[in-house]
Amino acid sequence: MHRGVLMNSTRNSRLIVFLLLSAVLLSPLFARGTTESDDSSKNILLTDHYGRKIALDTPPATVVSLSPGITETMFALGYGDRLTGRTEYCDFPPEAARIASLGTLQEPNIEAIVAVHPDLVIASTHFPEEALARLDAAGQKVAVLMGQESFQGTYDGVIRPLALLLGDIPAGESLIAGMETERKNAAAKAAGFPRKPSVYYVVGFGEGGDWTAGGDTFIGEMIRQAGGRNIADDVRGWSFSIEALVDRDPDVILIPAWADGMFQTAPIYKDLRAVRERRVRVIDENIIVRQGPRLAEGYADLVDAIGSIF
Amino acid sequence: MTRRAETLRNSGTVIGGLVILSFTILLAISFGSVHIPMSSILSILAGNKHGISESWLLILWKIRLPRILAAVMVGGVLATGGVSCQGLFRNPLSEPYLLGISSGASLGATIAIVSLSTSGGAGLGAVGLSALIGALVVTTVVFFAAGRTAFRLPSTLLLSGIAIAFLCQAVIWLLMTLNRDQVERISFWTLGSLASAGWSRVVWLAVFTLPTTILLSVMGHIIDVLSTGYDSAHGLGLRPQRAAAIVLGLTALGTAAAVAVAGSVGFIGLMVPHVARFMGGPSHRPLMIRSWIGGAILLVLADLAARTVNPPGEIPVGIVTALFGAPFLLILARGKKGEGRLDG
Repeated sequence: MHRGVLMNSTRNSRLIVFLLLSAVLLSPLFARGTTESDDSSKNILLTDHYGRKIALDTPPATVVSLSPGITETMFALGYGDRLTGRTEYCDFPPEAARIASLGTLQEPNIEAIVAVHPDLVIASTHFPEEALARLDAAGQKVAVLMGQESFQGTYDGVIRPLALLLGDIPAGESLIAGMETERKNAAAKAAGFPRKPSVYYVVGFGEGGDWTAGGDTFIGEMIRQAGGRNIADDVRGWSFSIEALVDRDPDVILIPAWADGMFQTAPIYKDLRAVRERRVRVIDENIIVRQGPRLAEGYADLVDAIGSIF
Repeated sequence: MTRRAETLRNSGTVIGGLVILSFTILLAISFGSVHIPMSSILSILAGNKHGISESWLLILWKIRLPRILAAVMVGGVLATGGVSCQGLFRNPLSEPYLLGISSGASLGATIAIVSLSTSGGAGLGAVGLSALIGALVVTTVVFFAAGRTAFRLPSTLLLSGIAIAFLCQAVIWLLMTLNRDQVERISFWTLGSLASAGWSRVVWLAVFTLPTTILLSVMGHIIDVLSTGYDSAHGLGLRPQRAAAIVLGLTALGTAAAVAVAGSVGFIGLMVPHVARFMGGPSHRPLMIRSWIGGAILLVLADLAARTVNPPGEIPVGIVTALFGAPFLLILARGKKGEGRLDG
């Protein structure tokens, strides 16, 4: 609530100082006031992914995000302005670039995080336990939010708990509702495919060998849900071969942006049916694998790419 | 042993080796991540394309066969490189990679991968070409860094090679840190693979590695003399400095071409010469030929394993050579303890 007041008061610097001061001075009163009106609990209570209890009197005013998915979700929920730190990998939305980077996913800069001293650090996948221990030791409040690799996991493991922590459950529900609409539309489109096109997903190719997303990966699962038949469904993990690719000659090939142009002109690959028939599509893997608000968009992109053969 | 008997024995070993190599190649053609029945393979090889699927033809002619021939040449040249380095440096642990060839190639490949990703386009060959240039440039730097005593005191050259290899690795890691989206590609490249070896690369390998291998074999007796030490070589009327420079230059060129195509496939240059020495005398010309055959057989087999252990996937061939090479070398070293042959 007082966030809106702060945002609309940028015209007069004196007013800002006054409001900031009053916000600081009055925030405990505000907190007390809101919790009094909400008689279920005095605190924000959450059990995070590691089963750690997070208890807050008020929603955090400053947050350091240690995951691109968390950063995206913060912005999507309308609280991007509370971020005081992010990781190197947080490249979406573009506004995220203005937030200070405090290290990488796997190696967050503990000293820098502690120096920023946010009300809450929110981490997700790839967050090293050792970093958690060091932040704990420094007395820094940390919540680790992640779910199973699925839409439901993203809703229940990331978006809902984050909305809860921010004291804005409705924002979370409306974000999820929007994503569900997009997902259902895409799923309906996929269900309408006259047949299941065969799909190959490029992770790497050429000199270093051929790498793809096997049947047991999240991307493999998404391809299945997007109405495609992954030609690497029998692969566990990521390893593939050019012989198998030629043999299984897919209808559609999905490539990362860096491979665009290179893949279509490389020897052998250029003779694949999908390349000759111009059915190679660029897919941004980040959108699919990040547990965040763009998951439905990533899924819809996949459905569109796979359906492009019809 | 009389000279005649030795020649006979050497020819016997070579012929036997070539027969084994031929069988190995046939074996490698017969298996892959895609199963093609033996009858179809035989008719394809016999030139009978009737009733054979297009994709099998493509797999056999354009993927499997060039890849196997590339393995032959890469394995062969890496092994002969090991022979010339071990002979020249009179050190059983020497191999061409110590001259900065693999680290230079990796650095070159990394730079190409990183910079091409931003500019887009550019064919696959660019990474290999950049690796070749990297290997040759870094090797030249290693030679110059070692200074004038490089040939007289091989340890200076080896030390300089190790130092510059560390430097290259540091730059590679730095580039990986700055281009985290390319980390996978760089690591896959460094692990070594023959996956992309098509006919154009086979031609390329043939142009670079076969002449260098033949020249090195021809120079075998010069390496014999050089391996007795530089002063004695000088006493025998050789200009050791120049001879060593030529031998190392040829070795670097051949190895660099191999690494540019296949990545840093390890252990062959180190291991095969020891095995080859075990199977015959220490005279360098026959040793060179035996090593070439041995290296070829070994890499074809390693690549066969890399292609077939985990179908339809593959594992990088560098992992296979290291996995089997390391214990093998240990067994060899233990078996020879006290005999001093590793030093001979």
